[in-house]
Amino acid sequence: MASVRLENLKKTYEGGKSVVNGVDVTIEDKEFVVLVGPSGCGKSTTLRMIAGLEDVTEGKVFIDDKAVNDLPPKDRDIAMVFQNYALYPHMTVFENIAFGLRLRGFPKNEIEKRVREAASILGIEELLDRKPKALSGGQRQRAAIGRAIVRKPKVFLFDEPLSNLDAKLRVQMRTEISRLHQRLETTMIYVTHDQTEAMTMGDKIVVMKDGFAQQIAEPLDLYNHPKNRFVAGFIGSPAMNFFEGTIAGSQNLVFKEQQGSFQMPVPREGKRRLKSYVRKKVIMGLRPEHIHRPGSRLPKGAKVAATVQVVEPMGNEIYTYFSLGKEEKQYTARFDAAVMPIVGKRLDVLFDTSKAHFFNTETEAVI
Amino acid sequence: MVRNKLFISLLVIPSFVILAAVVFYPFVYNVVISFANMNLYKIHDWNLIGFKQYIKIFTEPSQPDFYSVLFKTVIWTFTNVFFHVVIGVSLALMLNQNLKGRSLFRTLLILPWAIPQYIVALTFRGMFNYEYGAINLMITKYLNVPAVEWLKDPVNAFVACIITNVWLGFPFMMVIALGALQSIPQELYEAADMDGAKWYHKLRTITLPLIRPVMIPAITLGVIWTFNNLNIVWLVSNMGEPSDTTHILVSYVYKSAFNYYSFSYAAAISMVIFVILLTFSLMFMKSSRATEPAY
Ligand SMILES: Nc1ncnc2c1ncn2[C@@H]1O[C@H](COP(=O)(O)OP(=O)(O)O)[C@@H](O)[C@H]1O
Ligand SMILES: [Mg+2]
Repeated sequence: MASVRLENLKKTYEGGKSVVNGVDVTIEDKEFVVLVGPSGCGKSTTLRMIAGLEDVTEGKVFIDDKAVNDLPPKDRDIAMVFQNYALYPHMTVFENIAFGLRLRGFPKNEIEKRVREAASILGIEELLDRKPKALSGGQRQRAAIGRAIVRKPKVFLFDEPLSNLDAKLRVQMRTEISRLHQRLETTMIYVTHDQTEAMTMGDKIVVMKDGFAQQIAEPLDLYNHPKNRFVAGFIGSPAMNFFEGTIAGSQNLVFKEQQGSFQMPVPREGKRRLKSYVRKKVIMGLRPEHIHRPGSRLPKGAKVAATVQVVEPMGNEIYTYFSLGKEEKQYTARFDAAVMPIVGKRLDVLFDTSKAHFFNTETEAVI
Repeated sequence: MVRNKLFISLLVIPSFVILAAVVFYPFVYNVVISFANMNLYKIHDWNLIGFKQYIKIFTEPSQPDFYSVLFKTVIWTFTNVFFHVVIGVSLALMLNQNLKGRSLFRTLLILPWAIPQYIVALTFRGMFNYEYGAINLMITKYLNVPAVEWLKDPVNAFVACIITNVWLGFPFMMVIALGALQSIPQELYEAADMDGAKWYHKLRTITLPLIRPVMIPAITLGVIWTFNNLNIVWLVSNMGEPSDTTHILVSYVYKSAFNYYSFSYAAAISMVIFVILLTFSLMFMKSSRATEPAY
């Protein structure tokens, strides 16, 4: 049972490469926190500093309000699950799981008891006598998780544990890890580059880019109130559409797309904040699920003339890629599967203006 | 299809011819003359005499004695390979750390291997010289030990040969071990760190098992090469001096054949060596399950 606090955490590798640039995060006891971001943004480095596998250049790591910067990994009471499982290849699953307990001098019957217990939680009792090479990817990952949970550590760290599994197994393991979290009631910190994993598993999500935490929030909060253009574009799939344009008007503000393809009224809630942007450039963001078929009933819809470029039927819905005017750029809409749009045809789509986000062109911060 | 086969044959034939000339023919010839009585007096008009040469090897007393040469060969091989592996793996472990000037050390340590054996052997023979050799000069000056008669005493001369060959042989094992070490995923060591493993736990549970599949074939090769290493014994001890007491099997074969001209006798001993090494290799590779991958 433990909280983890990162205070202005920084990491500069030899040679001056600065990878983590001051991260402040508080992870409450029993919380499931996901660090998510594109590859190379410093997620693993942050996690490895928490684990003690990487020296901290600046700042502090607290576990239960105790600074652990100088503690070796084994004394932090933390367990970590690695992307490539890191099972000892010549040991059986049992020996792999028991290894940490043996090194810590647990009595034999206690080891036996704990290993069996962990194996039954993970459904790998039958595999205990096998060597890792005789296991499938999913079984290996379970064994690796087993090795982490037998020690009953204060904090679990996961570094992209599912990225070597196939899509179906990934979904399955996702729910299994979530269930494990509910069952064990332990603090977990989970690193992934996959925003779906982050959204579905995290109590709290830290979106990272270039070694900075861009936003720390609950999943729905991130989705509904992204703090900047990066977070808006990173969270949600397919990704949010961005339109460049200017704000015009005096009493009733409108957003004018810069090529003149469309204009739309600014929602009432946004007026106060957008006032100072009149005659200035802004970026408008709208998610694919907030662009509707012509004729949909919307309280606040703006009709936009589009040309259908590509359609991707997903079964329950259709991803429709369209362009505006003479622009090359493509935008995405998510339509229900009722009628297939015709490629090359003009389509008057409806923008749900109440769902629009506006971003400052220079700072990319939300307005 | 037919053209294709012809083309393939054309490509294969040259190497096949060369192999036939330098491997198959000499081997068969060796087998044949081991059953004959070829020597200085009967170079051309030799006859097949059956197993007589083999019986002579195992039953007739000879100078030096066959069994003591065989015993010495085993000691020679075991000691050499043991130190090659221990020194080689230890150095590889050191070079695998993140130390400064690693590539310089690596190059320096491979040097013994890059110098022709002939030169190394003669240099060491010089260094083992009683009066002027560097080794005696050093041990008398720095260790305050009396000078050693390296090359005049049977045991010392044999030790001198072993020292020379250890120096020559460890880089091979080092290079092989280094390659194996570098292919071990770092994550394993990190997982062990989280488990609280000390360096010796990691050595025993990760490093050694994971370099094993690479080291076993290397050790097999090392045993064969060392068992058959003529140059060092021949040159350092100057053809088995003092008075044929430092021989190992190959140097004994060489001396029998080319100094004493007992060609058939030498051929028969060669066959004995061949059988010993073949049996060893098969058994060693099999019992160590060397071909099984680690993952
Ligand atoms: N040992 C290292 N030395 C130098 N640079 C490193 C080292 N490890 C990682 N990096 C760099 O740090 C950046 C962040 O790495 P990492 O934290 O692994 O990113 P990710 O978010 O994909 O997990 C990457 O650009 C990577 O190349
Ligand atoms: Mg990573």
